[in-house]
Amino acid sequence: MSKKPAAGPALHKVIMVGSGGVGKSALTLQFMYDEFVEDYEPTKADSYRKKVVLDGEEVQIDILDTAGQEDYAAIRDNYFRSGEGFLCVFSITDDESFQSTMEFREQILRVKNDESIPFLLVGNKCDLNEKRKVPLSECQGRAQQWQVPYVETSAKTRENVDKVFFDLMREIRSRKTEDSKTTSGRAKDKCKRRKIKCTIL
Amino acid sequence: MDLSDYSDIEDQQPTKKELRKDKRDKKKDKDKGYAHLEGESSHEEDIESPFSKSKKSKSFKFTSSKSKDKPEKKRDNDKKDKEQKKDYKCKYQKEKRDKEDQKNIYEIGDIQPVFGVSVNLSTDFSRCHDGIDIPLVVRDCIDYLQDNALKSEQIYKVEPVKGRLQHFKRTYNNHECKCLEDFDIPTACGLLKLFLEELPEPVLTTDLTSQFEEASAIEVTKQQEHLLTNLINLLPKYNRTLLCWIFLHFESVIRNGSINKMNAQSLSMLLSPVLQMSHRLMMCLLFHSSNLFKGIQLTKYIPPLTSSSPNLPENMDEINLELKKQESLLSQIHAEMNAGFISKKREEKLWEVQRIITQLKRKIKNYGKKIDKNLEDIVDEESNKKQLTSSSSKPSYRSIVPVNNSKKISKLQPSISDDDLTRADTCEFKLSPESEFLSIDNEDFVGNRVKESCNTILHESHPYYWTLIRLQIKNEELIKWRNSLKTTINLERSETLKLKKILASSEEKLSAYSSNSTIEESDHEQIVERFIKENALLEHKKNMLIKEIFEATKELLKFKVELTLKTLNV
Repeated sequence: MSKKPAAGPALHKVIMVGSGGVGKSALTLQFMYDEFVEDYEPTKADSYRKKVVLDGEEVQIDILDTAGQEDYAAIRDNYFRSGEGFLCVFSITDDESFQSTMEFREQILRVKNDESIPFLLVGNKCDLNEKRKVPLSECQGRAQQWQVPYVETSAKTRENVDKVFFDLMREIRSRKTEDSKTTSGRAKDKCKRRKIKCTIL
Repeated sequence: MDLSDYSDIEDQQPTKKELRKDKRDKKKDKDKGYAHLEGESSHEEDIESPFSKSKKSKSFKFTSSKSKDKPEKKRDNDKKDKEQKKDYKCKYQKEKRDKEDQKNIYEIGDIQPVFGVSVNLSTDFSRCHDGIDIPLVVRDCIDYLQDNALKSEQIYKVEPVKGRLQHFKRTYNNHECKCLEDFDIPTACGLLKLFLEELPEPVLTTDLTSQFEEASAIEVTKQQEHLLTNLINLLPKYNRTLLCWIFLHFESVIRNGSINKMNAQSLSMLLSPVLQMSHRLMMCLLFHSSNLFKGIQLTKYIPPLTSSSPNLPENMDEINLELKKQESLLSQIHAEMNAGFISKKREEKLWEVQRIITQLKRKIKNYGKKIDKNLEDIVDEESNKKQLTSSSSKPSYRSIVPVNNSKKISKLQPSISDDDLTRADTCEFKLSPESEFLSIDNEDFVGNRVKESCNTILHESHPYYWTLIRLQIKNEELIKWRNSLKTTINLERSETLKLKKILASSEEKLSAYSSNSTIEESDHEQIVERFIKENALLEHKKNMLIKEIFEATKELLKFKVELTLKTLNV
C-alpha cells in the first residue's frame, strides 16, 4: 500500500465542502492566486494544483472545489472518495450554512468510512463580524464534538487562509506517515475507528 | 451502506442484459436469411456454444475468455448470475478497499464492453470526445488506416495475428486505449472487421436491411440514390454516423485502388458479409457513397489533452473545443465511477481532467476580462479623441491665437480632421468589401458545413430542419460581421493612436509660435466657430453614413442567407 507517489514531491488531496455561497471558491482562489473575487458564480467542480513548501519540505497540494448546491450531489461522491482531507466551510453570517455542515460531515464519513479523516471546520467571512449570526461558542462546540480544529477565516482579507490549508496538509501528512507505519495493523485500526463512530451515534 | 451506491446499477443491469439478449435473438432469426454468412460464422459459433469455444479464441483464452464468456453466461442463467454478481460486487468492493490498484476478477469490460453490444451502447461506452459519435475503436482504426494504409497492398488482405487482435479487443473493452501507435495494418483492419462482425445487429439495422436491399435492386441510379438517402436518414443517429464513416473510409481505399490493388468488387466481396449485407447492396452504397455522405469529412481524432501534454491552447476557439472534449471525458469518467469502477488510476484521471477544465475555464474568464478591458480602453480613447478634437478646435486654437499666420493654422487643422474622417471612412469601406469577398467565396462551404452540423441534430424530414439551417447560417454570417467589425475597431484604435501622435507633435510646433505674437480676438472666434460648425456637419454626415452602411449590411445579410439556402435546396 504505497499511497505516496514513488517519484516527485508528496501530493496531498484537499476537498472544499460546504453550502453554496459560503466562500469555498473565494478561499481557494485566494490561496492559489492571491486574488479575491467579489462576484458570485456557482461552482460545479474545479480542481487546482500548487507546489508549496510545508515545514521546509516541498509538497504538492491538489485542491478540489466542489459545488455547494445539492444539484451536483451525484458526482460529489466520486470526488469525496479520493479526498485525503476536507475543509468544511460555512459562513459565520449564515446560520443555515452552519447547520448544513452536519450533513456534509455525515456524507464524508459515509464515503470515507473513517472517523478520524483529516478535517477542519472553517468559519468564513470573519471580516463581516458585525453581521455574525453564528456565535463563536457554538462553532467551537461543534468542532469539539467532532474532535476537529475550528478556524475562522476571511477570503477577503486573506486572514488565516494559508493557515487552514497548511494545517490540513499537516494533518494529512501525519496521517499518511501513521498509516505507512501501521500497514499491517491497519485493518484493526479501521475497526477501532468504526467503533468510535458507533458510540457517538 | 456500501450497497446503496450501487443499487441503481443493479437495477439497470438486467435491463441492459435483456436488451442485449433480445438483440442477439433477433439477430439469430435474421441471420437465417443470409446464406452468404456461412463463411464468416465463427463468431456465431461462439455465441451458440460458449463453453465449447472455437480454436480461434482458445488460443488467447487467458485474456479473452473473461470478456467473452461472461455475457453469454448471463444470458443463459440470468437470475442466478444476478445474485452471483451481487456477491461479486460486494466482494469486489471489500477487496477494493484493501488493495485498490490491483486488477480484479471484475473489469469494466465485463459490464461496459465495446465489442459485442449495440452501436448505441458501444458508442456511449467509448466516446470520441470531439462530438463525432462513433465508437473510439472504429475511429482509431479508420484514422490509422487512412494515414498509413491507403497505399498499402496489405489493406484488408492480410490476416491479423489473432493474439494481437484479442489483446486490442480487450484493451478497448476495458476502455484503456491509446494504442494507436502499436497498430499495424492487418490488426487495424481486423479490429474494425471484428467490431462490425460482433455487432448484435447489422449497422443498417434489422428493420431496414430488407428495404436497403430492395433499393439496391432498382436500376435507375438517381432514384436509387434518393431512396437510399431517405433510408439512411431513417437509421438511428449513431448507426448513421458509423455507416457514413466506414463507407467514406472504404471509398478512399477504393480511390487508391491502383496502388493498393483493392477495387470495389473485391472490397465488397471481403466486407459485405461482415456488414451483413449483400454484395450488390454494398457495391451500390460504395458507388453512391460520395453523394450519400456529402459534406462529411473524415477528421483525425485528437484526443483530449492530458497533464503531460505541453501546453493548453491559446486561441479562444481551440480553448472552447478542448473544453468540450474535456467535459465529455469527465462525464465519461463519472459514469464509469458511478457504475462502480473505482480505481486509483481512474480517480487520478478524474482530478487531472477536472484540473484541466478549471484551467481552461480560467483562461476563458481572463480572456473575457481582457476584452472588457479592451472595450473600456476603446471607450476611453474615443472619449479622449472627442476631447482632443474638441480641445483641438477650442483651446488649442487659443494657444494658436497669437500666431500671426492664421492661414497656416487653418491649413493644419482641417488637414488633421480631414485625415481623421477619410481614414476612418476608408477603414469602414475597405473592410466591408473585403469581408464580402470572403463570404461570397465561402458561400457553398458555409452552407454545406451548416447543413452537415444540422444533419447531426435533426433529420432532414423534420419540420424545423430548414428553420434550423436558416438560423445557423444567419448566425454564421452575424459572427463574421462581428469579427469584421472587431477588426475595424482595432484598426481605428491604431489610427487614433497615430493621430494623437501627430496632434501632439503639431501642438508642440505650434506652441513654439504661440509665445511671440498676438492676433485679433474676433478673427479667431470666427475661425473657431466656422470649424466647429463644419465639424458638427461632417460628424452628422458620418453618422448618417454609418447608419446607412449598417442597414445595408443587414439587408445584405438577409439576402446572403436566402442565397445560401437556395443553393442548398438546389
